[in-house]
Amino acid sequence: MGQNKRQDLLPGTLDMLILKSLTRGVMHGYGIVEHIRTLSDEVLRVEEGSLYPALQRLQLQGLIDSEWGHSVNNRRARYYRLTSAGRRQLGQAEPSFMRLIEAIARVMKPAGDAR
Amino acid sequence: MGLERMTRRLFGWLWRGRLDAQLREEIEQHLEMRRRRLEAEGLDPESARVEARRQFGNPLRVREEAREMWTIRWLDAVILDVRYALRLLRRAPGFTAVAVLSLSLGITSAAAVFAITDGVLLRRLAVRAPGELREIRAIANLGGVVKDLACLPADAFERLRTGSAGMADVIGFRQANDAPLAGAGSGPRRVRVEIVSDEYFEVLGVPPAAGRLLTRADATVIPVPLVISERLWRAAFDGDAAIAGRTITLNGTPASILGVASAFRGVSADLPADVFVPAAAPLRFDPAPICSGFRGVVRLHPGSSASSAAQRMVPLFKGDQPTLLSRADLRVALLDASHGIADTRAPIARPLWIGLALAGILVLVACANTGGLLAARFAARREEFGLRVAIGAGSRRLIQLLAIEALVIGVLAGGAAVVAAPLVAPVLLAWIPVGDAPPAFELQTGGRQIAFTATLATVAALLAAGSSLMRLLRSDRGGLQSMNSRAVIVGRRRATRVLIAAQVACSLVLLGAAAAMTRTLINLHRINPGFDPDGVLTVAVDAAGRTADPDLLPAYYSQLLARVSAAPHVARASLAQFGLMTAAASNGTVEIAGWSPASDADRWTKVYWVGPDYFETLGMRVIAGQSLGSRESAGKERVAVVSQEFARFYFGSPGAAIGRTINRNIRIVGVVADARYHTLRDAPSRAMFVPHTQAPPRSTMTLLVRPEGDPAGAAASLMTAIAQHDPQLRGRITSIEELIGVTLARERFVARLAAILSILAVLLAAAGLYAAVSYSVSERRHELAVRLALGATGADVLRLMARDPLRTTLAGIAIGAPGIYATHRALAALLFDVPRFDLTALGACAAGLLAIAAVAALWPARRATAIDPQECLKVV
Repeated sequence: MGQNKRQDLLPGTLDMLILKSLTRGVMHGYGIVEHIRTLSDEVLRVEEGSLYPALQRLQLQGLIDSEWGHSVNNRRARYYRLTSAGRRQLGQAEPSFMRLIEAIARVMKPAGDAR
Repeated sequence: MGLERMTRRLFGWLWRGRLDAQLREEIEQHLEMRRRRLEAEGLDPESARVEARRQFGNPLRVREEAREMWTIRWLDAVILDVRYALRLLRRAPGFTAVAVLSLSLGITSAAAVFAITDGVLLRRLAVRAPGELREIRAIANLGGVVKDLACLPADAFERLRTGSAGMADVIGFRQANDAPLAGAGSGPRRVRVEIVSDEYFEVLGVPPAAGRLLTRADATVIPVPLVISERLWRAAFDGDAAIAGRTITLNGTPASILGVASAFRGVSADLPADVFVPAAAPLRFDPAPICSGFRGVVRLHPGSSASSAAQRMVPLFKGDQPTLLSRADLRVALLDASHGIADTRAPIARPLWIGLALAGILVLVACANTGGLLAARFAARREEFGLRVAIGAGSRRLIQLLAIEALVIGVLAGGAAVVAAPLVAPVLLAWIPVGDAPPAFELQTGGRQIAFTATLATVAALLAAGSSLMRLLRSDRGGLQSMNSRAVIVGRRRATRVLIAAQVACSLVLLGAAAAMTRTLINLHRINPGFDPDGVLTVAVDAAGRTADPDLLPAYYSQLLARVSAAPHVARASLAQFGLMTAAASNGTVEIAGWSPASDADRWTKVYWVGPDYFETLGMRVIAGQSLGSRESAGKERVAVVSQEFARFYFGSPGAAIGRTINRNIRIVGVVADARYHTLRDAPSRAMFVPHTQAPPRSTMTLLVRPEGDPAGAAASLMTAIAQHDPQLRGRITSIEELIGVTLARERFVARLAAILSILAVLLAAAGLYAAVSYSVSERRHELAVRLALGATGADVLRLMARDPLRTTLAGIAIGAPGIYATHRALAALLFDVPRFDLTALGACAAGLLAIAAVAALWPARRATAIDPQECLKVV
């Protein structure tokens, strides 16, 4: 229920990316999408259909918090920030997540290095 | 963590409208930002907008997916179902009215009986830790005769109070009825006063609603300090906030109100009081309190047990002076007082539970009735359910739908019951008289009753939906979607039969109970009480303090009797120590020269101190020797008249008793036929009648008057005569028939309740049967038209339509018959002279039910005969 089936990434990846992005500071939804896109060199494009359900889910879990504010162009926008619980969760989950990614990278190394 | 999540989800659901609007705005802004970004990259505004939209995706879809996060699906579904159910009910007002009415009849009856049961049996005193309270009763065994003393002499009470320190706190009270109170804003009124010992309120721990309550220091203050109840405060003083310090007049004496006791009306549950005064206060009450000492209540200290405290009290009771108490074999019992003291509670307890059970049976009838209605409607909605199944509803969803519809009806019926039950309950309570005073257990509409009504309504509604639910579960989806499949119709007919049979069976059980109780009452009224109660009046008078010297009391009463006898409309008059049909009696021992008792109990007999003309006034038959006549001799020869049973027991026959001497100097001059003195169920007992002048003088007496002609006229002239003799003397007039009625109170209560419940049940069952046959006629229209066209007569059709309902009724009667037997067993203590297998009653009830069923079935069946085959069979 609510897990976006279009997400082909590893489960929980999107949540991790969002949480990690928010460590850089408060951002609105569009800002998070742009941040991920830029940092990943255009590889990771988060679809809004996945983003907003994820944001709501994280809010319900108490890991992020939101507030209405004004954007640079003086328009109303909703800004998200990490809560202390979110920070804790990220700190706990990040190492194992990174280990997982490295393990995948090792398995996917070019065939030339295999014995 | 889970709780936090649930709370967040709950709030999310509650604010879903707002969250949705916020999300929409957020998405708008997101699109806007994307569009501007694309414009900055070089696209024209229109293409940028389109491209932004394309890149974003479907906003609606996004919103839906996001919304999934905060909706509580099942809650949304329930709300939808409730609204749908309400819409359906609104569209069929007739059906709704009948369903709600029949269910609420059952629930209201049960709730009303429960309200009384709660008020009489279940409610606890509004004091601190009511479980620690015990009532002190001294049980004296005087050689076989057990006397249960609740009223403790003042000196014994004082000894108990001081001697129990450490184990328990002892408080005492007595009551005075009908004390005149003046000075309240709403005019003079009469109140019941509770006269309390010093630490009464402190020990009980009653909170004050205003002002303060009585303490030790208030014992001898002038003007007399008193506390009033919250009820009196609101009724007579309008809840005046400045109540403390107000002066009023109680029984002519000025008194000052100290404060108001919160939600408390004394320790007596069946005789609630409105005014509390210290025992040491110089107040005289008229009529005087029944108990001249104190009724004792203890609060056990935590850790001490009731039995050890009771044992400690026995020697304290007896004291040093040799009295009746010190001679007897004494035992102290500490009875539970957490529900308040009520001597009248014990005999009513069982009838109340029986009443509740009978009301429960009516609830079953109501459930079956409503269930039949719901099942009929379910059958009519087959298409709707088929559609629901087709678009994907699972069984659980459908069950939820049906259950919610039933619960909505249940809520409506329960709501009606919550309103109606408090109106019905006092009527039922009035059928339980309490001795001489009107019944006064307090009924409060409290949380417990509402909880009971709500639970009952829920269970009843679900039970009613039961048959529809079962059919839903059993039928396959295909069956739901097809029209008129045979299996469905047969299933519905079977369910209807079961429900009708259940209603008939339950109605039969209720009718059986009503018949048994009615027979009991008839039997009891037919009993020859041994005297002629017709029109006889009794007047209880209290002459305490009216004579200078207690020894002058006999002469006082003799003069009163002479005046009363001479009064107009009075045929005969006499007096006695106690009236008839009360629980009071004296006991004495019998010594006969040359006879030794087989057991201790054989020595005891009842002793009645009576005036001249006693037997003639009451119409008791003297079967040997002579009556006491006008013997008033005091100091001369002592004589007595004995009862038939007395003569038989001690001397073998009435004739043999005449002239014999008992107790060394009492000569038996006559034997009177056995009579029932206390209740109609009494077995003949040994009794001795002695002239009252030969007894120690007593201040309370009962006058017995047989009127000449109209009893009302006699009552008036009686009061005049009493007033002429002594204007200060007050008496309470009742008729013996009223007193007999009081002894029959339990039986009457159950009989009336059973009668009303059985009438309601029969009405419901008949209505259900009528509806079922009516529906059947419309359903089988075509079949009947064919039959009529093929030559069936009206009588054939009638027989066809009525055959099934009547068979079902017979089946219901067969099922209910063992139920009647079970009811008899449950009622056994109340029944009198009713045979175990009362076939005549069973036959009468069954015949009655059949007759009513026949009418209920044939009435709509008549419509079947009026079917016009041509009209009906026209092919469209």
